[in-house]
Amino acid sequence: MKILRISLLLNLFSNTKNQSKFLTYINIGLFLSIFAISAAIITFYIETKIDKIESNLAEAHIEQRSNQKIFDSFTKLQSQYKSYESSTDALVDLYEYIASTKLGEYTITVNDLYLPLIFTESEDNDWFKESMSDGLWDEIEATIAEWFGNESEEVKDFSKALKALKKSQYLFVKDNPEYFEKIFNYDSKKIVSEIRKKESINEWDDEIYKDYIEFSNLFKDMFLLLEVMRKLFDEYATSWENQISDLNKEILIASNLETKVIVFAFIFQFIVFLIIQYFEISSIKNEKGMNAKRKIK
Amino acid sequence: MRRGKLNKTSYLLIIISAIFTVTSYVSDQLVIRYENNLRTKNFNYQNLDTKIKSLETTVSSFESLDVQTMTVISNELIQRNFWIKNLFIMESNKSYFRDIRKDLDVFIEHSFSVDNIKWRARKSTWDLIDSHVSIKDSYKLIFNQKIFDEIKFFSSEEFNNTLGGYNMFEENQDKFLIVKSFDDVTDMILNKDLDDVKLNLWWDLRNFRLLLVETLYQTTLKLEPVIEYIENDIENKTLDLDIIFYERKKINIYKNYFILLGIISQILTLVFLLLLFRSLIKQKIF
Repeated sequence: MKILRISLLLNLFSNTKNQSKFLTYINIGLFLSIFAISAAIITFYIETKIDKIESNLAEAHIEQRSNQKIFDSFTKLQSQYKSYESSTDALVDLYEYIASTKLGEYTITVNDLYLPLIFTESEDNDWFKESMSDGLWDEIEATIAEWFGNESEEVKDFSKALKALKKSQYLFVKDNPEYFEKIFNYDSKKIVSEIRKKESINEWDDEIYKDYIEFSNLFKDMFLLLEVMRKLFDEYATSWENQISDLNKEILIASNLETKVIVFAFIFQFIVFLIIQYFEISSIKNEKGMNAKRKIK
Repeated sequence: MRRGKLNKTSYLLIIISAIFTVTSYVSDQLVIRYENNLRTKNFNYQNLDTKIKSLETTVSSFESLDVQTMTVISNELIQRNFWIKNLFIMESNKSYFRDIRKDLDVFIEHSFSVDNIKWRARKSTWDLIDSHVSIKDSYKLIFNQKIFDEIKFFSSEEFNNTLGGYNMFEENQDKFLIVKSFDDVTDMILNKDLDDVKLNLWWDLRNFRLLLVETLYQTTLKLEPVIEYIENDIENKTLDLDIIFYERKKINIYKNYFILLGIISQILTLVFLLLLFRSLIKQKIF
């Protein structure tokens, strides 16, 4: 069957009447093929561009997600600090009221009230020591200054809080085995002696009380640092959102440009094809005219 | 030129068509290979991403539990001596406590206030045990994660046993006057009449609570290197994820290149075949 078809095709080609018609069809085929190649190249060029934008977009989304995670962790940390601070303040207030009474003078000491707070607050001191030693805070301060400007409120707040934090870092460096012994005391004699001593906690000159006040201030400074860093990451989030929106726009523009360029290429090539076809038909006609004249002669 | 014979141009066009046909075939095969690679990379990416999310959830659970634990510890430590000092003052027969009672102008004989302190001490002890059990169970749930099989320096079983305080009384008998086991504590809290509980037993109850808090504090400290290990693991896995992300991007670009190369090769094959037919017609070879 195949051989029959090929021979049919060859017969058609060998027919001289059909040859000019076939040439036209082949030219149309060539035109369409060249258009297909140019369209494919245009598509490839613009799609590669879109690919790059999409990959930047994917990176931007990853950065945005990680930024959001940090922002959320700051918010969580701040709310934990706030709730811890308010519940502790309320409890301390209550004990301070009781300590002002006659019974309170016997039953509440600085070791009972303030020491546990200092102990638990200074418990997680490794991260603080590390961050202070590797200059992390200074780097963050430089980033904030770069982002908000040296004269901004954020930089002023951050620098003020950081200065206070550095001043109070001795609290974290303090070794706490002595505190540990005092807190986890299982000796009833020591408790009895505390009762008999009848030392009011409201004299405000005890070292432990002073440390407690320092810690309370430190918490406020930490809260301020977190607030400024949260603002920074909020700004980052807005910046990433803008970048994502710009990249999406770029993809849309490139996509529209692709359609326009392909349509333009088609029209341009079609015109070129028509011109070539016109000259080819004219040349065939001229050739036929010359052959006819030769035959007449 | 004789009719029926192909010239050099025709042969050249046939060879070029053949080359582009082969190129198109090779490109298609490469696209299939890259597609397979991409599928594997996507699979690895999703797997790693899920692992990272699961590890992040583990760290976050540890952090939440740490806050919960520190709140329990801090609240308990503040009140650790308050009620027992009150009971010493109100109940002790020692002369200096009698003097204090005189100073306070309180003479207590089964008063409501003392009963109230005792009742609250028992209730808050039960609450503390409840919080301790709840924290212990929450940790147990976290330790079901696969990552803990990889951590060789930490035994979750040992952690659970220590946190559970199963040997608490055997190892700290010197801290108790009367109590010998956890059953003695529960018996005192749940069954004994308030009037039957002597001051020594109240002191034991105070020490039991303090020991429970100390166990909680000391045991949870052991989790610091574990959390650090998981955080490092997350960091490493995130780096791997980034590498896979860029590999995926690269494979995708190559895949697109070969798809286009395949398309263009097919079109060029067609073009050169058309040029061949055109040349054959022009040469009047048929």
